[in-house]
Amino acid sequence: MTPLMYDILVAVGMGLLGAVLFSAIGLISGTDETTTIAPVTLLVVLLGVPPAGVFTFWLAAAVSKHMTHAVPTALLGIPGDTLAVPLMPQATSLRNLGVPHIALRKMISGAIIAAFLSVPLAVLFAVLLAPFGPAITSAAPWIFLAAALGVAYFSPGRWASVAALIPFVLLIVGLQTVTKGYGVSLGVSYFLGIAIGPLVADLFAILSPLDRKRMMRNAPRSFVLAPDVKSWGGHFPNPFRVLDRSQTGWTLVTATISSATFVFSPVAMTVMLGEVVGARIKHAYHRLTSVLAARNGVTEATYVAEALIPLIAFGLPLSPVAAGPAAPLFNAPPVFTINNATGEIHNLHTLMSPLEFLGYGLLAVLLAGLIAYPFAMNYARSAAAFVSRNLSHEAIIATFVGLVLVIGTWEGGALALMVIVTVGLVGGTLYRTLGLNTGVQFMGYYAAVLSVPTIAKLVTGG
Amino acid sequence: MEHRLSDPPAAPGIGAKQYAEVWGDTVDLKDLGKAVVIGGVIALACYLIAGRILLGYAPTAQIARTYAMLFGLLGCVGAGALCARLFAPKRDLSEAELDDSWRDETLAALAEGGRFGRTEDLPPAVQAEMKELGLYDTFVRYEAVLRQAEAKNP
Repeated sequence: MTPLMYDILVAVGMGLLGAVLFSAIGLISGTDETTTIAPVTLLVVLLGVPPAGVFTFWLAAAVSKHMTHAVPTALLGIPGDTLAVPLMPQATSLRNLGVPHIALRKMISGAIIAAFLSVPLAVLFAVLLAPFGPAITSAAPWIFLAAALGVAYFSPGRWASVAALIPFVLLIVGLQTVTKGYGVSLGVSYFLGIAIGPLVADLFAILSPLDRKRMMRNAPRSFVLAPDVKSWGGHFPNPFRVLDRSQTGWTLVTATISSATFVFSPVAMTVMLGEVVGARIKHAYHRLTSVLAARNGVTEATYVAEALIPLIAFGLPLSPVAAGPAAPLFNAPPVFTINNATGEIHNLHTLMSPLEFLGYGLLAVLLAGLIAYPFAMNYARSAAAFVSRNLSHEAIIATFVGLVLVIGTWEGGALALMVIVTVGLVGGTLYRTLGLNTGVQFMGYYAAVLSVPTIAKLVTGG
Repeated sequence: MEHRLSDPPAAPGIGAKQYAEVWGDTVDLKDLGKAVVIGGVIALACYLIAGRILLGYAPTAQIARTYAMLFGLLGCVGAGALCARLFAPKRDLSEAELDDSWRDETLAALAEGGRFGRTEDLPPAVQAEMKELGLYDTFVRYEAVLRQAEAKNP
């Protein structure tokens, strides 16, 4: 077997695994992309899967989860994850009109069209930006500092988030110094601590008699599952027939725009471009369905572009998605590394060519399209009912507690576990009280690792 | 369960579920406590035991540790499956039929911005889609109501 054939086989296998696994995870409402995709991808990297397999796994997982998270959003009226929040008003209106399945179908048809479009566009933009790569890489410490401040200002916390970056970065620098004193150097533990922060903070809060009151509820949460109607023959619905011509057009236009703007947050782009489309459609029903298709296409395209462009062009995680859910593609020591002293990069950026990114990227979208798309179109209702009836939230929390303990112990024993809990508690609390979200915290981590040594050198003159 | 003197007297509601919203969904505090212990113990045990056993077989300690992590992750999933069997979801799922009042409220909310549009101006494909969904008549009727209201208060 030639090396290329072997790579393709591995990529197909890993892509299928990612698509199946994350089609299922997407059905569980409230599972954040960062908390689920990042740790599992990290595991795939650390187990020594070849680069093409890692990349196909990640993209197939991200696209699949993005499709199936539309199921709870449309049918149960709860956002599948943070990216689905801007779609709630339209989805809820269609649900109340008695046609939630239409909301679902418009959303995921927009998503699959946008996903196919955004991969080649992202590769194209990355190739155009690549000549600036060396300049950007050498200025990385300053770019990350600026990015951290910018992302913080655009987070829900605004100036509070900007100001809170200082203690947060200092905390990470301090923890690194402490663990270094014991000869332990940690990377993954910080990511996990930030990603899992909201859970850690909630578990601490529930232990405190003072804060517990805020979280107590009188009754279980109630959901109304909407009825579903299948309106096509066969198994594989054609997305171009689910959307009408103007909706396909709007999806293509907005997805193209959002593919180019890789530095902004996907949520912000989704809200803004959704407004642009909504303002141009006169009829109320047509507006609802068109905005849903376009918005979900935008979240998909922004997501793909935000991961692919920095990965292909720079090898540095210079966007909210790249620093969050896609972080293990850039930095997963000891396999993928970004050396903060020399600026040397060893990750998918150096291991794969733009042409390979294009080929495996399209393969990943195809696999996700073959699995998640017909699954969400055909079995949405029974899947949503099964998950909400059989999978308790306690079970999900148990799984994540186990994950933290295993990965922490693996990376640095008890010391790493303490770091995860510290970062998680501080980060999670800052998220809840100030609105310093996980994206800002990831940028803060990079600022601590890359910018702080440079600034320190400048200040001390060393 | 052991009864202690310090326990408050039995009252209605004792042993009742203590619902709380943790990480975006409702849980029962007792079940949550058990789930955290089960998840932690099973996952960590799988990781540590697999690490011990694999150390004898794997070519290097590094590889042994990485595969031990895979077993640890399987332990996480196993613990999750066990907890899913042990603890029922705290969700109240109903499959209610559509409430007509919601439909009217939604139409009113859509009309609020003053941009409701005219169904007859839509492309034929969209009109056909609305007919299939049974929304065509609903919208046309509501547009007539809006036009009447407009005629009354210009």
